Amino acid sequence: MTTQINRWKMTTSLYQSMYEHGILTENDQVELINGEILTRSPSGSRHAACIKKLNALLSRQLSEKAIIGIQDPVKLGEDAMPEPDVVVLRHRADYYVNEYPGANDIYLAIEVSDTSAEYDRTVKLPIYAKACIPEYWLVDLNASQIEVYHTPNGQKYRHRELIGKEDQLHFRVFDLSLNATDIFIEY
Amino acid sequence: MTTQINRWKMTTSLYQSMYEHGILTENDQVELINGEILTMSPSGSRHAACIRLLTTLFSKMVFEKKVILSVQNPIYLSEASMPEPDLAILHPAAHHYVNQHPAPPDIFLTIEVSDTSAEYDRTVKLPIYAEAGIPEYWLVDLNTSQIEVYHTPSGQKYRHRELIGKDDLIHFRALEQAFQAREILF
Repeated sequence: MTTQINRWKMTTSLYQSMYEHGILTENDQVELINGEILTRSPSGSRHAACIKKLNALLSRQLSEKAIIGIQDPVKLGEDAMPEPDVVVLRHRADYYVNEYPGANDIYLAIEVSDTSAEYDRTVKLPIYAKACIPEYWLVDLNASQIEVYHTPNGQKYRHRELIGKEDQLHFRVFDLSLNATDIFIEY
Repeated sequence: MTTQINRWKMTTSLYQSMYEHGILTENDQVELINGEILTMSPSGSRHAACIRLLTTLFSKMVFEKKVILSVQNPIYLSEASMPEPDLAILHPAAHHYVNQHPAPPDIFLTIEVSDTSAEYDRTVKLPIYAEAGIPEYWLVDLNTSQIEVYHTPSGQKYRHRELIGKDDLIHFRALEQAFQAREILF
């Protein structure tokens, strides 16, 4: 018999107040998911390197066309404020100085999974889909495979494409291509 | 396959800051249990009536200043837990705990009245009370018309459990008082 535990759910605005009042600080490795504060696992070196590489590859190709956010909070509805490993944001001269980017500002969210693929697939994906983020990449370092999801529909994406190490990766909105092999660094 | 979810754990002092800054208010029916903020189910009329009966039961001792009764108020148990038991029977103190919530040495007995929540009170609340060294815990189960009396905490358990039916006597050990269980049970 499992005992039912009813957790109190928090909104993004209360979550932001917690930062304002120092109840949460930037040292807390957390994100708001479905109204709950969850801890994020610390980055291993392989995970961190992959994010750096993605940042370099995307920055080179997108320069003035978009803003790249690395592990920054984005506000998705009233109950989610995740910190995706990489987000490609609509370009804005003020670099979102006064507010966190919202769902409408996001072209692409990327999660790099070292040990967390299942979490990124079953917890993160539905949140991105629900917020209508047009495209989501899950870079699975253990499987050396990238899961590319697009066309959100409810809490799912209608299309999933599996990209192997030798394949080309297509970033639909900007119509640009990347070599998957550039993302998987020799480890 | 179950996906592992790692919840952020909060301390009682951060929890209290949330009240101070209005992030939590007294309208939130919540308690801090093992570092997580959990919601408490609203009282049904049967649950509420049983709490009134229990309050009456202890009122003579309150009048004689032998105990202080705390009804559905927070108690400080550790840096991870600040529950709100249905009743806490406290040591008498002129300050009535105005500056801080009662802590384990202040508590004779905690009581939970379970209408639908017996399993939660047994598997989540009990270990917390035992671990904090609360000497005695009563779980009044309205569905079975039975009171589970636990005493002598040991780790996250109580060494002794006694099941009290409607026709039995129930003992409040700290002050050596005995009551008829039928004064509490319907």
